[in-house]
Amino acid sequence: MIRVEQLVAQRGNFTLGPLDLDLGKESYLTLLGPSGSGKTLFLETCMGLIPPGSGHVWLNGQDVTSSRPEQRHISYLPQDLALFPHLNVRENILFGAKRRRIDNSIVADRLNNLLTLLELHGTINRGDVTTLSGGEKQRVALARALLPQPRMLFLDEPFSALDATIKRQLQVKLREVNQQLGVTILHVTHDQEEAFMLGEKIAVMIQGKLCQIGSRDDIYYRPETLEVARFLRNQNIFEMTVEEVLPCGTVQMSNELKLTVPKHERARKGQRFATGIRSEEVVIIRPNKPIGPELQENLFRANVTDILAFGGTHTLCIKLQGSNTTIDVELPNCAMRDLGYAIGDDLQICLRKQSLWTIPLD
Amino acid sequence: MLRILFLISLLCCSMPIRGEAGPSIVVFAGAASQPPLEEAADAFQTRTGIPVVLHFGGSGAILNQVRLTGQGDIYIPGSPDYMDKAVAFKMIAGTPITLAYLVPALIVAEGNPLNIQNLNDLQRENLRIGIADPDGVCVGLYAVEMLEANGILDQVRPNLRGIVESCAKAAAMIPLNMVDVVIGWREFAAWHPETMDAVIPGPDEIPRLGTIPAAMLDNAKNPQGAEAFITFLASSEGQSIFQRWGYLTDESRARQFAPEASIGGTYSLREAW
Amino acid sequence: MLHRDTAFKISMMLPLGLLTAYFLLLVSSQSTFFSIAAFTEQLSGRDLRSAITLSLFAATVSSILAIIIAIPSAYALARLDFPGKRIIDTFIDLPMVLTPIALGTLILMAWNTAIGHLLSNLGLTLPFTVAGVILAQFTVIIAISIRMLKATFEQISPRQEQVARLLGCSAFGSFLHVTLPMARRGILAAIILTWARAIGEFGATVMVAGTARGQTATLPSSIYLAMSMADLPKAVTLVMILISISLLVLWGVRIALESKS
Repeated sequence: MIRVEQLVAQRGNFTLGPLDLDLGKESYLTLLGPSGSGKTLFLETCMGLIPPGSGHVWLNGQDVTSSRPEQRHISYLPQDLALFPHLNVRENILFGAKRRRIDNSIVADRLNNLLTLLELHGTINRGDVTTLSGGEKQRVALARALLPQPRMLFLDEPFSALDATIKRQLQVKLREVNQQLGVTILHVTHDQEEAFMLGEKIAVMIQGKLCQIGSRDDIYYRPETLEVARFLRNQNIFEMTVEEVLPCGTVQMSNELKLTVPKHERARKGQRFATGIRSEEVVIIRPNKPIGPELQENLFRANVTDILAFGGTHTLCIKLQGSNTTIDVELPNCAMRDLGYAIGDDLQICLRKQSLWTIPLD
Repeated sequence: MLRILFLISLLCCSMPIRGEAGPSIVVFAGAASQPPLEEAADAFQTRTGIPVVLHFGGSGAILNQVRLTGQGDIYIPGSPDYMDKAVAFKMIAGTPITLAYLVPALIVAEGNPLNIQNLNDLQRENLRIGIADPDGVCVGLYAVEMLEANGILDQVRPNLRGIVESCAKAAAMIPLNMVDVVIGWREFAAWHPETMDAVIPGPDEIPRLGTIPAAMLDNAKNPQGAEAFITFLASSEGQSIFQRWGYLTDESRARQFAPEASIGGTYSLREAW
Repeated sequence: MLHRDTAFKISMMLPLGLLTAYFLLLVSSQSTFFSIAAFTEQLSGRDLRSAITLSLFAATVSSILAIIIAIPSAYALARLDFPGKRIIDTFIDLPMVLTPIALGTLILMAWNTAIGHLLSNLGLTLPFTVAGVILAQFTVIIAISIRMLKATFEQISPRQEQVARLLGCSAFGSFLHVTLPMARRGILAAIILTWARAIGEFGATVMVAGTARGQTATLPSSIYLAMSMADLPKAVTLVMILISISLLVLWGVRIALESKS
């Protein structure tokens, strides 16, 4: 569907790439990254709005690197939607069909289906697009993008300005669009939840480079670079040195602490690694309850130094006894109610070996 | 959109004719001579059928126009110094003739409310005097010469409030009440007797008289026509037109105002006049 | 008590009010010099009709020409990147800095160069013709058009153009169907201002085309000549006519184009 080879693009002082990306048969790719990481520039280059410095872009197997934007059959939904203020709702939606001179009866059919799918029957006859609500504008922009039946739809942070309820509704709509209409979607966002929910494959872009491409689990539990780990809000990151690689593959690492981590092919004695664990993966050992077999390693005693309360979760900031290492532990509210910890309390935690990710340094 | 185009083509059809049917005479003249020349041009056209196209402007500006475009049959500046320039630029064919004489005078509001009688009155305290810029305009230069010749330049200088860049502006200062007195041509008042009066200095007070010269241009495309029109202007019919507009066409009549005065020519301005 | 920001509103409107009063004063002060005799004399003369027709015709043609050239030029300056852009941008402002008389003189001098001779050998005459009037006005007004249109295009987000491209428009198509319609208000304002400046233009016009009545005399140059004669009643008549005609046209254009949108 989309393939990019050694793509380089420039805007001012910012350089994007070189990028390599192959979105195979997956039809929904989310491109995740912080602001300023070059995601929009990447979209614009793939769409042909900006000529690449070097490299190639293939869409549907065709080399479109030197094709004009209007020849690429991609539809674009930019962050500000860019509805045409001088046209009414109907004219906005039908704009692409007019330009491509699609036959009227075909257009009428497609229009009807889209209006139903996007629940726009009540909005289609409105005059001024600027007076529509945020959600209505989004759906009109989507309808406009989908009417010419593009092969691909590029979305640039489409929901960032919407409130949570509308956002959720539209995210669900996008999935329907993807599944029912069979449009391949490249969806750029800085919202991690959105990226994980919608994307079949997720690519993480930081500072103009593609750091990792993979499934939700890959990205979430097994970050491949420190930038990705930090971007994905891993709070607990430790720099360690390999002490020993055991015959079964398990690796022993240490700095102040000693940790046992799963095997890694680059583990050699003396090799430096970063390792970490997501705060919700830290297990609190219940007193008076047996410790299961996989929780036998990486057990520590700690004291609670701070408790942060969020909406549905709590975060315990704990300091491991006998060291300066602090760890954040995230608990759902019900668990917190059960355990009833307070600042200063003493507890035992386990950094479950299978939950620890490792990234070699240098 | 179509409506606008239609309107424009309508306008085009009512446009004044650009190309004249037959040969015409193109005259470049100082704005000061507008009334008599327009009347003379009409009379000439009625009599001979040859149209006279008149372009008016500042004498210096039109001299530039003639130089740059190489067009024009006749040049009639508002003062002799510009004719001298034109001659120096080798733009003139033949010899210039004088169409009228200009007498320096004190122009005041109609009825002479401040009772200005002669040059010495110019020294009055708090009197606002206007002149044309002697650096560029003939009548201004002659005004300064007259003040110097009568030995009152230094005394009058504090009263010089308005120094303007053209004859026209100078004349307009009185009706607009910008100054009380303008040292200009007697003819200014002749144009607008209802708003201005002229007080003429004594015969021995005027060192120099001005003229309105006319000459054919070297590049004239219609030399015969030019010749004919100049002749017409100098003829009794032409001269009577000038007289009707208040101009002195007779040298002896002009001399009555200033018997000893020189006619035309240039006066060199002192550095810090 | 509900505050209505009265003090703020008044201080914003006060300068406008004073300005309007000042303009009204300027216009009504002519009454001192107004004379019925001069008024009727002018109205009955064919010279006035030619001057009005020429003024309207030349201003309209030169404004249309200016807008036609200014639209792509302003777009290029606003959107596109090319070497020497900043220099050209500043250079284009030249007519606004030079007095119209100087511009007119430059045009005449340019007519004397090889290019001018070439054009005149091809049968084109410029000095003292209506074409000269149009060119002189065009040269004075073009910089204003470009500045205004550049500001307009800069305010339009390029996103709409991009979306249009991907919906099937060529670069031209997106300009025609999206950019221009979105720029409508700015273009209207530019047309009005440009036309107003053109009809009042005088210095360059007089230089290039002279003041021949019935041929190249416009309303402003007629006013100038009347002033040169210190003929204030005639000047006042012409000024009143110029004001009336201009206000009529400007108002009419504004209404016509605003009602279309």
